[in-house]
Amino acid sequence: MKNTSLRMLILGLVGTTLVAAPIEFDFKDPKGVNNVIFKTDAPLESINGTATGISGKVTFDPDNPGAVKGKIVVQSSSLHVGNPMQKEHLHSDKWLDVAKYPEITFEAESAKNVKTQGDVTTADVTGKMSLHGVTRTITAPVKMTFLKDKLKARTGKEGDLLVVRANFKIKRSDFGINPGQLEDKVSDEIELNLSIAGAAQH
Amino acid sequence: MRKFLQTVAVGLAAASLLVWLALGSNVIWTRTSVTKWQKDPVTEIEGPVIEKKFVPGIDLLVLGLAGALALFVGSVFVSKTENKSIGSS
Repeated sequence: MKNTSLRMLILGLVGTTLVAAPIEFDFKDPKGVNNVIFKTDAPLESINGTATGISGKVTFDPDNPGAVKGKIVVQSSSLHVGNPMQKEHLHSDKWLDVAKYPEITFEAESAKNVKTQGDVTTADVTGKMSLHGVTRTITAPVKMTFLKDKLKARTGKEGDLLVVRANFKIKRSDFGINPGQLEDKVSDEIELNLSIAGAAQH
Repeated sequence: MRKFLQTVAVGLAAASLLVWLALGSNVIWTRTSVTKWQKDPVTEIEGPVIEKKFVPGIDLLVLGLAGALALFVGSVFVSKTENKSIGSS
């Protein structure tokens, strides 16, 4: 009887620990939906493009969303614009130099102004962004939606989903991409819209 | 010869304009792909689907019109040369 009670207590504690534990979400999307939209709006030209080569892992605790940590990686070569010449220029050593710098990364380190309402958490996430061989600390407003047990509806496997959305701006000059040059065609300020979903299997 | 080149020039200008107008009269650069957006019903994320499609832009129209103009201007010189050689023989 004593042993059974003890076992029950241990199982209960383990269960509580498991429920409260942060969940690791994998952002390599088999459906290829995850994307980043980039926009430059210069006096002479407006360029919009997308990037879809996204991977990375984020640790998210539904009971403590402010403790979010993780790294998102974008393959530089996945950046796409409709005009083939513009795309060639974008990938070349004159601009992003995708051969030398194949990855663009953002590593989340801390979150402030965390507000949670239901499954949705908004926060200002600070982390290190690496682009074109330069790493800078940036803060971006992020919206995270925790979709418990929704992975099955998407892939047929038991698990949770975490949808992350962020809209923010960076300056290409901060990352050593042709600073002060051709700003009439490619603005210094680049708008980034991130829409990604990560999966965590049970 | 002059008339032939001028006809080609006018034809090229008209064809460039018609193709540009017919395929959307886009005032952007020429594209070889278009991005369509597809919404994921579970995550509600709109993901890009890139399709190969030729979309002529303003650059192609300008190129066509410039080519037509060059032909038209060139036709004047070609005809003069021909007239001279005919006259001297």
